[in-house]
Amino acid sequence: MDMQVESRAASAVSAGSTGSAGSGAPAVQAVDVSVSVGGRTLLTGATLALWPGEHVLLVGASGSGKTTLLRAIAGLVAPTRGRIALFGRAASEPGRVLIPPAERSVGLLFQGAALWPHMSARGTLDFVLARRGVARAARKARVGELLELCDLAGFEERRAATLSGGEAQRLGLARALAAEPEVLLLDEPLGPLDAPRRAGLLDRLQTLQRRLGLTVLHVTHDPDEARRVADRVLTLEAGGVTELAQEAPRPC
Amino acid sequence: MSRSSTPLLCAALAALALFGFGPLASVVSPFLRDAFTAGPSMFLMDVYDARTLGLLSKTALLGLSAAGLAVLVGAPFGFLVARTDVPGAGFLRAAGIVPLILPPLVLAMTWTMLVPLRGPVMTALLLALATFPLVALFTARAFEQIDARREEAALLVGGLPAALRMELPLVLPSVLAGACLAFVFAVNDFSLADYVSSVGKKFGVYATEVFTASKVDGNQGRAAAIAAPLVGLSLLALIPALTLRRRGSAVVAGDFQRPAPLRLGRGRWAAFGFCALLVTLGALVPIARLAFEAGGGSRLFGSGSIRRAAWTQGGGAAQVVPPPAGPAALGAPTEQAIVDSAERRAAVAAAASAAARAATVRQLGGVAPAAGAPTGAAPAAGDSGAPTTFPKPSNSAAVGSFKRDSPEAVAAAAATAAAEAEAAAGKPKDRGPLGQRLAQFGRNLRGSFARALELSRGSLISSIVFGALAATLAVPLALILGHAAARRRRGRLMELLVVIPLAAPAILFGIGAIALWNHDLTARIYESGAIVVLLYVGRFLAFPTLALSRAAASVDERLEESAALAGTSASRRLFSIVTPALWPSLVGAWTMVFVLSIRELDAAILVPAANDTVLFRVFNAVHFGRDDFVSALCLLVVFVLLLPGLLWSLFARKRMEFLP
Amino acid sequence: MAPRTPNTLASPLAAGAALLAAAALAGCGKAPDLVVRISLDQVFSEELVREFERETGLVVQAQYDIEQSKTVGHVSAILAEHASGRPRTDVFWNNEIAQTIRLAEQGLLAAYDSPSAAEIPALFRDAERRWTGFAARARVLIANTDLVQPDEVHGTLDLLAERWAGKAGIALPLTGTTLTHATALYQVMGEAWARDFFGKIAAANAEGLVNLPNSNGQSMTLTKAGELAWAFTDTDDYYVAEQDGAPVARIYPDQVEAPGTLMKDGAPIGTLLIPNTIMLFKDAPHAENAKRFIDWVLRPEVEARLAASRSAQIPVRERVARPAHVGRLGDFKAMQVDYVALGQDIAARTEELTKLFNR
Repeated sequence: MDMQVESRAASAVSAGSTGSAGSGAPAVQAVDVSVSVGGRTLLTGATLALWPGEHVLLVGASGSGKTTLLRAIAGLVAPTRGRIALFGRAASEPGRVLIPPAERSVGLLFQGAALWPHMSARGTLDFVLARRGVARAARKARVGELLELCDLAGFEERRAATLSGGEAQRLGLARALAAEPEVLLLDEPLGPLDAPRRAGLLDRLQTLQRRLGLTVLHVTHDPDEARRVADRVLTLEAGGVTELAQEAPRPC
Repeated sequence: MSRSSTPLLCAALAALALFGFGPLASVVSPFLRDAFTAGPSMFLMDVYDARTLGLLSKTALLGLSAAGLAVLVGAPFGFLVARTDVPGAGFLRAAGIVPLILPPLVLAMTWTMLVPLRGPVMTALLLALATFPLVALFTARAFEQIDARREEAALLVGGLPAALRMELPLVLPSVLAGACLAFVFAVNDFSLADYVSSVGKKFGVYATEVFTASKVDGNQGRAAAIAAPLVGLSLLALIPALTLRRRGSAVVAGDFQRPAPLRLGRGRWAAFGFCALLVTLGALVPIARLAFEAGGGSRLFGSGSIRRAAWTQGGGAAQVVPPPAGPAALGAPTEQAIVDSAERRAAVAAAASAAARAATVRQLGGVAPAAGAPTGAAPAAGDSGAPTTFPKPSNSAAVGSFKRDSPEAVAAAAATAAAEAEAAAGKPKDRGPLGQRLAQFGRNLRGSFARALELSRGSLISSIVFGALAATLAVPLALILGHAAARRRRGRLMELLVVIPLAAPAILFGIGAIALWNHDLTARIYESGAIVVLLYVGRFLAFPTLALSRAAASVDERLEESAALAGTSASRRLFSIVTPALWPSLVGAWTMVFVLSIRELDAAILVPAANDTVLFRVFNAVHFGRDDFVSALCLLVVFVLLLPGLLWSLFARKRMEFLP
Repeated sequence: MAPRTPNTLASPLAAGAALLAAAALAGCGKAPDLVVRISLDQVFSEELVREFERETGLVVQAQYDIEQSKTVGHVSAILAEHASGRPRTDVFWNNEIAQTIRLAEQGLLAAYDSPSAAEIPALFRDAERRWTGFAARARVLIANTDLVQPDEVHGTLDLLAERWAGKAGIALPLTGTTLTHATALYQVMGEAWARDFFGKIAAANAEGLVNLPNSNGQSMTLTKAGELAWAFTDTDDYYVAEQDGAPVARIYPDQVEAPGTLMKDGAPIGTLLIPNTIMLFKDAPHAENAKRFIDWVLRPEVEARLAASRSAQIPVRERVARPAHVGRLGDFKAMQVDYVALGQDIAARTEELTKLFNR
């Protein structure tokens, strides 16, 4: 099974490197990706492929490089070795980020949400929409939609610092979605939440993913809880990615 | 729980009151008495009128312009060197601090020589050049305190422009805090405005008024009254600076992620050009000019003063000189003056060539000189008797004559005398081939440094000792005060209190120190170096206190709370829990007091023991010393000022923290 | 609050106290036998003080001055010491005279008729012998001979002459000998004339027609470099430029009847002489040693040394030998001023001139 995953990924990358973004190409492919920063190796030889519309969990021990892999996929860090392709287009190669982060159509929900502390919920989303070239008139409505979508209606004027953990995560999610990504990367989104809120956020994620047709790579250190919304679970260990088990088809 | 130790705080506050406020109270109390008896309104009418208020607003405008310009260049500089992949960022960042350390007059002397611009515009530009590092330092720190993930979230949305747009409001308070300090620096400086408007329309500033008033002896009260608006203006800028410096630089929590350098792509070389230009203007050119002068460059290669060129070639201030007045205007004594002048010039030339001969003989034959200074015979004015031969001090010996017997000084003096003779004998057009002149330049440079070191070794050492003692005494006090300011309820008030001694005019502070310490009980302090140390501590305590209060505020309070729960005393917590977390700030605070103390002159000049400091010697030599000696001495002082920073960067991994 | 352990509390305080003690001892060698304050530049005076120490075996604590504080630093410090009821200074060697008069006026000086001063002309001695003048400087014009011939400039009024517009200068008259010079003009030419004259200077400066460098040294430097054609300065500053080989000439101002010369009662007013002055304080802790020092300094030999030094002070005693370039008092006409009145006026003039020039 490992072989299968890896070979599919490898062939997809080689197809992508020709520049033809074929419809059959995986949404995300990483082949033998290693990342070192300042002489410290953060990720070693990760290979994976995500198919459009998949929700994949990525688990692994602390320090195995889960967050680094997400950042590499988002283009925030260049791999020292290996290649990354998005929908068949070469996105990163050793030492180079070929497609800048803002042009990758990738959204990232950071661990702890990493909200902009000086902006209100509305300001945060408006800021993103403005950067994406949405006209001022259209922005107001879109902000409302996004807040509604993430169950944040009524929180327009709240500043990041005043939001609870769950609210902050939902605003982080709204911010990631505001740019209309095709791929959504989630870094421990359930981390700071209590059990009922975890379930709520997972439901919200699942709804959104299906409604928007997103490809989701979901990093978590506790796969049991999230497994119900995921198609597959991958394990990141030093030296590569392995698939834990073939999941049953997710409930519709 | 994490409150600071009350007895320690009381002791530190008592020290602040004594060293910082004692001198001020001593000088202001007679004024208050006068004002009270004369009736305040009468008194104020005399001191503040349309002219002084006009000066004040002009000064404020100058400060605003300088601070604005400093922001314009300092903020991008700070961002580029701290957060981007601009080539040589480390060097540029360190070199970018140098303009702040150099005396502003060094900048003024250099740039007025090279640029024909004068007046308020030039003054503002030079003040901005001297203060942009303040803005840059604050900007750099603020940009470094943005969590990587927050920045990356913006990068994902719209790349670098989006990230900058998002971060601007976060760093703006820090930029403004730097600008406020630049403003305070600018409005309190009078030497620069005065120097820059030496030619052309005089540009008066309020600080000149304060300086002049404080020199009218016996009326310190009036001087204090005149100083009050400037102190007020400074405090007006310091209060927002104190508030702003903390904004956007909240406690750096445990999960903080340092942001990675931003990639500028092709823009990095343009950014490098911008940063390198600033460093060149503010640090490299002034230092190079000092080195040029130290090597006798202006005598070997020409002074390169742009004003003179403009003058003689018909540009700039040049005007057609009308023909001289008719012969009727010439009286006999004036002709006498010409003859007199010619005679004197001949005597000078004869003496110079004698000096050259003496130097050559020594170099060739190794004849031991009897005295350090080459001697030449100058004719005496002789209607009253036989001509007298004077031991004519060579130019170089004028500064060093009191240590003639030192062999190093003798050798150095001989080398310089030879160079002088060479320069004096030759006209600009026959200075010799370039290689020869460069070799001579090298010799002069070595000679100047040897002489500067030889003649000022004692002063350098006492400056270093005074500075080090002041810093070592100030830092523990500042730690106690700063920690309390960060943790206690009325901390902000304490921060404001501590800056007041710094805002007062230096001369008044010095006079106050005499009034305070010159008593039988404290005679030993007054008559020893201790008064110099206490004066430095009192005046400069604000800097380390603010730096350490900020540093203490960034230490997680829970560390102290857990120690308190374990039964640790407040003082033990401060020294065992807080202090170890603050090393880079403690060293930074120490360095700051050390640097400021070595640069201080106006207040310390009044007390006996400060006589033997190196800056005193520099300013003494500026008047009658030769340019090469003064420049070499200046470079030595700059080196001493940079020394702690250099040592730290060599041996420590963390960056020194010294910002308030 | 947690219990306090006394030892941790005491340690930083003890360290601070130890530091202070160390600092107190740092500058404390042998207690001085004599405390002098000297505003003549240290480069010249320090050597003399050392020599005095060698000859007499006395330990002298000397406090020097720098150009920036223009003597007033010393005076302020002396007054502050007196105000705190513990005078420390025995002797003040001032390179000026106006502030000396101020100290005499305030009753701080003791009369001392030094035997070494016998030959010093009466003009330079206080009638009550509270101070003695010697080794004078003169106000002169320094001219850059590349730009102007010495016979083209004659005196004070040339500052306002059209032909020198933008090319001549005088240091800002708020400090130093320029302030003394300005105060002397008020005295000699009368208040109305001086007010008018300095008003015109300030107005001309506002038009960029007269330059006001920040010191006499700066006037010299600017002229030497050719930024100014000529400027007022002192003989000592002038001589520095000459010895550096600069193309400069010295002109005694207001000597002959000419367009730029300032005249009073039909005769040129001459140039101002500013002697060094030395004085003993009433409450001098070491009065006897102080008198020895004054006697030593007032010897003709010291005047000769100062004449031969780079500061080229003009000896006030006719018989004192001097190099040719230093000249004699009789070489030029000196301005007739009442130095005592000058000292009395100077504070008020400082305020008046500040109002005029600091705008």
